[in-house]
Amino acid sequence: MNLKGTLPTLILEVLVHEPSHGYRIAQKIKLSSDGLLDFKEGTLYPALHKLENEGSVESYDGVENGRARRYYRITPSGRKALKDDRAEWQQLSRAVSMILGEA
Amino acid sequence: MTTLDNWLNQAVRGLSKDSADIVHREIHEHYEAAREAALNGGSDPDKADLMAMKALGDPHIANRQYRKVLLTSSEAKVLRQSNAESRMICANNWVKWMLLSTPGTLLLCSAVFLAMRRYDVSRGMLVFGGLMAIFFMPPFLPIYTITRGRIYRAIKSIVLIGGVLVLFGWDSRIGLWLASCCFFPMFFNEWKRMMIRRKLPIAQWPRQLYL
Repeated sequence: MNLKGTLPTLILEVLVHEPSHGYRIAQKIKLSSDGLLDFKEGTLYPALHKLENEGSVESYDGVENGRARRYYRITPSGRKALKDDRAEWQQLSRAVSMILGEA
Repeated sequence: MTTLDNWLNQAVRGLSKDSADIVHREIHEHYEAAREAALNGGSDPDKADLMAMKALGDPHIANRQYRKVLLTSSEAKVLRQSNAESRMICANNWVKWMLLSTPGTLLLCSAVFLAMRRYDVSRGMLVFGGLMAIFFMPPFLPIYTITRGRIYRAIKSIVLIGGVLVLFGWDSRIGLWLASCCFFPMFFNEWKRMMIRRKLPIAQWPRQLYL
């Protein structure tokens, strides 16, 4: 399952807990959704670049197990965007549930 | 050439060299991490390679998405060359003062001809002076914030459209068509700059992107 347009929100949700690198972000999203949300990992980085261009995340170089890694962390404006996205998603899911519940 | 190299070649098609380097680096990092995780999970090296490649997905889709967020080679070229006019103006003191004083002189002459009721000459000078001012003054103006940049671009559009209206009056449709042909390279650069503004974080904007 891959809901179009949700990837940036999912990335922000992962990063709100701790800074992370691309591979770990992808794994966390898959694990947290029990493998239901399956997106191709080649499209993760364009989404990260978009968030970086918008100022929602910032990147820095780090090292993990002796290997250089590009880490991403959420910014205050990213936290605000996530808060808005959460509210919007809850509204949308409530509306869809109401319609499906009536069907 | 490995499968990963093939994937990368397709994913970076049309991107600038700097953008391609970024993609190469992050995908290599990701691939190595995925391969290592598969190996640690007990997969044999061939299967680990295959799993890591499969997880990356379609390179054409990745390329389309990368093109939306990273500079393409044509945008990088526009960015490199787009301050050529500023450099030309600032390089020579004589050219600089001539280009700076001409719009003012033309606008003054336009007022004089208007007073003499020579409307056609006055209109031509007004438009020509306005266009020169809008194109040659910016390097000397303090335009280095988003708001000032927007105001300048709005004024530029108004002067361009206003110039056509003043010159051609009721025949503005022909004028707009003519202006579109004459200013096509400028419109093309404007469109490219707009795309670049969306892709580059504001902190990395060179001065010409504000204009």
